[in-house]
Amino acid sequence: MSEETKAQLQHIKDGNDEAASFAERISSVRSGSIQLRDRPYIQRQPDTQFQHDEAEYPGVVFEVACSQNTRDLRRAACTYIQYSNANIKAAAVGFELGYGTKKEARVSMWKPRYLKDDEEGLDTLDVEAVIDRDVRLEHV
Amino acid sequence: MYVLNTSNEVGLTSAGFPIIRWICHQYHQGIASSLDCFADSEVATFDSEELPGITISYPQLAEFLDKAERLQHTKQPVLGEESIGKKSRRPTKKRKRPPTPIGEISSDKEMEFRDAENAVEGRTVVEDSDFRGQTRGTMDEPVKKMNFRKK
Repeated sequence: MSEETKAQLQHIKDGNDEAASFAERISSVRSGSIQLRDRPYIQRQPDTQFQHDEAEYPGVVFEVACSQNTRDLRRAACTYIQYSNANIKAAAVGFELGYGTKKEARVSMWKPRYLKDDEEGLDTLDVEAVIDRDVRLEHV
Repeated sequence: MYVLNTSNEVGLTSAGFPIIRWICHQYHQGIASSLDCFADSEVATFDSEELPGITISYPQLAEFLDKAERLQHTKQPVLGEESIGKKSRRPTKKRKRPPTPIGEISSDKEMEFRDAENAVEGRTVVEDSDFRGQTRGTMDEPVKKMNFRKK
């Protein structure tokens, strides 16, 4: 996924427009740690992350979860998105890998969602799954 | 290179891998991220709807998943199956490691470090105003330690 994302970013960079100049400044940071909070100390280490050189946080992170369930993926997405105050905003993409001959794998992608239900007029930051579905692979 | 078989034909790819059937309950474009997802709104100040983005289709995702699962299977086979992963079998003996030098940390320092560790261990979660009304346990925050000591 990292390679495919990089390839598509490279394609955008090859242009000569605003998108190209923006994409030119996005780098793949691989699996470096992201410190999300000082107290309590919270950090995560996604498998791949893409960061603009002017941004404090990577905008897009990918995390492969080999044995996690959907709830864990949602927790991870919440951590990334809420603790970064939605600076990480194209969410954690989780793969829950299956095992055995009949494999079941899950792909999910989460993005921030703002709810305007606060009496003080503050938006509540939530996450929503834009994709959360099984991809079944069956060896024949 | 593996082949995505949409016509339910069976066989082997040119590399000898079995052709897999790809089944998805509902066809979808896949994962799409607009360009402004890569930075916060302070940096990405443009209207991304008119700009190209990143799209990874479900067939591509299925391929990536298949590769990841094969790699996982090689590294950690299912219980009862033999590992097919190759590793160095070169006979060696390990050089003895030198022992950790004694007395490099003074007792005062050691006490200081121990106190610091104890302070971290005993740290309780400070109520966080950003998460008002949040049910405990929904985030990756440490669980507050309870003191059950009788008064």
